[in-house]
Amino acid sequence: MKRLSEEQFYEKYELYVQMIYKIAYSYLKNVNYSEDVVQEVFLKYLNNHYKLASLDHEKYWLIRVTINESKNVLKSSWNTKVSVMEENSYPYQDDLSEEKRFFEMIYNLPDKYKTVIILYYYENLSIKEISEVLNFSEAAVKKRLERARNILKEEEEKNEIR
Amino acid sequence: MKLDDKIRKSKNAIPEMKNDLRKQIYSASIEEPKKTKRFSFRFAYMGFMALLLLGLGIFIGFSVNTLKPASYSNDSQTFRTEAEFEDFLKQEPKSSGMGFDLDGLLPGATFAGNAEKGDTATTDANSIVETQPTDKSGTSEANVQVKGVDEADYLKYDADKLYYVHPNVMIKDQKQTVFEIWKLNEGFTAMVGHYVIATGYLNTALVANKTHVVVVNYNTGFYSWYRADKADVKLLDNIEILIFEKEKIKVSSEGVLEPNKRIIMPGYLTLSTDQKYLRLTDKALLINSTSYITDGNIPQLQYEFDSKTETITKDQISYYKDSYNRLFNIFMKVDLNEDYKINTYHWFGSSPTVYVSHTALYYTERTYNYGINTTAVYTSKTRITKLDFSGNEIVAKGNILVEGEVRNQWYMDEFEGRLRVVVANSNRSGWFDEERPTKHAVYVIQEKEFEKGLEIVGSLTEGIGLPGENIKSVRFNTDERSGLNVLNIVTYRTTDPLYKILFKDGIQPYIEAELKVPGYSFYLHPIVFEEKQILLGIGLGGNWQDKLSLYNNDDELTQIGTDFLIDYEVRKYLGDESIGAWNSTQSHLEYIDVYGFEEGHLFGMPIEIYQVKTSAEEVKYVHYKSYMMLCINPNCKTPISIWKVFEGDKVAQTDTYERLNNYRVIFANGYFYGVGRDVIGLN
Repeated sequence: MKRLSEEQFYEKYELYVQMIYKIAYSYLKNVNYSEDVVQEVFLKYLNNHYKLASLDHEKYWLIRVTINESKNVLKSSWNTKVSVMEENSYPYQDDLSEEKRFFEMIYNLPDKYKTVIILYYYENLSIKEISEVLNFSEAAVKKRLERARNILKEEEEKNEIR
Repeated sequence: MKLDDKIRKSKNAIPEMKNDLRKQIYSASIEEPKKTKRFSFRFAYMGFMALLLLGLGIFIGFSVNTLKPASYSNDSQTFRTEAEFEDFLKQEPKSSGMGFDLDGLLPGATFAGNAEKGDTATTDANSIVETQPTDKSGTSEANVQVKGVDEADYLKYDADKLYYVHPNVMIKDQKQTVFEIWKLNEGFTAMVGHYVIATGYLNTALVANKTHVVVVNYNTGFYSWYRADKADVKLLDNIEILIFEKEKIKVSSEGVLEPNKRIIMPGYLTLSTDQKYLRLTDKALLINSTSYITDGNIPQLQYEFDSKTETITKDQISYYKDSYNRLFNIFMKVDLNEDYKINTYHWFGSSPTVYVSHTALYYTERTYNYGINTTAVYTSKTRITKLDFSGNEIVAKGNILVEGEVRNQWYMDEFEGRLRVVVANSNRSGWFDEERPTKHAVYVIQEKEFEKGLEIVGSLTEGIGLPGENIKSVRFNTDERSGLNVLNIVTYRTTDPLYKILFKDGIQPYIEAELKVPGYSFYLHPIVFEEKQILLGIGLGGNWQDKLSLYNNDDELTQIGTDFLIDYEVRKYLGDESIGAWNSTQSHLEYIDVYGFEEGHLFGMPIEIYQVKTSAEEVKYVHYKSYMMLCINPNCKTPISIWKVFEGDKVAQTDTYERLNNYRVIFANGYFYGVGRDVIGLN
């Protein structure tokens, strides 16, 4: 296995860190936990980068690992519950900005919808790319995306009525 | 702004990373990866309190049984003068030490004279199909006797949140009780916020409805007179009520929950504001607190609401002249819809068993007690008092005296405005004596038509139990909308019958059927399957093994299939001869959820698995707290079968025997979760 040099790794880090962090945060809503995920994902990348055939594969692989790691953290959050509480405050306050409110709505989506929204809107992946990342058919991705949009739309309409 | 734009812009809500991790990661990839520092949580069951209560129960049990019968008066009155008040307190029977019913300490707790597993019944049948909250406003009602009247528990949940009183959480090297709100999301869990309960409170419970979650902390007078140093007794002896409005839950930046309202309700050496004295309807919070009066002191009867303090005057206190109990009781109603307006009703006496409908509270008090050595059929009488809280004021509607005793709330049920009550004779010791006459009964009671008071309008006084047999469980299964009106009673031990009792014209109880089965159920849970009434019994088999049984409780009363023996079935499922298991639900203190599906039902049950590890030196038992999921389908050849057993690596594993009571399986929005030491997804 050929090890990445420090410089090579820093390049990759620059390229992907925001993507990984933001996906993780969308699942965890906690900076410390998201940074943990960033750390875990890059450590895995350093051990596995040589297996990845292309840049696209690399990106998709990193997204998949990030989602899995984030879910693992959620799953084991009982083990670290004090930390996970730190950043969950603002969604429950009344004076949310429009962006925060919308982020909260996305955060509260079921995972299967949240994932496609994040990849499509936050990471600007195409339907085809998402289907490759998630290993679903394009039709399934479209369906989920549509359903996710509808949920958000309904929520938004409810808010407007209030 | 278009929806798409709004979604894209919401990305800006994600805060920036705090740290540049590149060097750290690269170094870690060369060295041993750094482990994230994690907090650990440990808790142990408060066994010492249980032992303390048990010990006191024994002490009190024998004391109470020495009391002589008092004269009976059917009239309650209030104190007109100071002298009258003090005279009443002085009349406290000295021989008893303290005069109150055992039943009031803990509902169904096993005290002296009740050595076997307690008498019980389970949840409202109607709640079964509604124990799966599917929208965010609904709250699980799995543990309530009356639909829509929530009862205290250590956890509540709706479609996406769990509200959990978590005992013995290790925070800064100290064990604390913490109220936590968890987000439940497709089998994953994350904490939303927490509230650390102040040190000094011995018990915490919560109730919830669609709009509110109410956390109540309380302590008992036991602790006060148990303590050598009484300096902070006043601090300890109160009830703290924390009200959280679901739509306005606030969490600080430290993750701390902020209650919307806090009410302090000091008792004077609060004795037993047990969790079963707490209810929450969609309109009001209802608390029945009890205070112990010591050394003849006149209690300071005050409660605080926010910064306001109100004193209860003596002329507002009711009492029965013949009552041998001198406990001070407050029934408090906090109106949730009218800016938390408080109404109270107060009386001296006791309220060991409380039943609450949507409009009325019924409390019982044993009045006569002839002692345990008597040959009398009944060794006690019970007074039942009705308090109506449907209007602006709480009004006493009258009382009635019945032979025998009402052992827990499940012995009572209100149907179409009438109270139906099961009374047992006092041979609750479990000492079987087939020579002893048995006189269990069912009464139907209603308000008198033309005068104040209650009267018996229907009764069944013969045929329940063979000589010497004791009542083991009682279960009303009713639904006013459909007319369902069934009572099941299990007695033990000659032929162990399960009775099905119906009510002619809704008034006159009669035995419709009885089924003789080995062993008995101490827990009865109605299930609806293909529109048929099925009864799930949890109990002990003829060989004293923990068992589950299914009964057809519809057109006929028959057993479905054979008993499911937990120990045997778990061992068979895990394929390891060294393993066994038993039911670790806590009788009727812990309610169960049965989740209905078209193809059957799933039933999550906490169990305790043990493994025998034999070496040359010793035989060692390793215990695991675990969860078992069962599939129930009365149409199958095997009507109860194991769907999955979650082993100890998922939950607490203890080398030493540690009886933790906080284990539960819940089902929220299509996913199972185990709640105990931790909150975990089980799917």
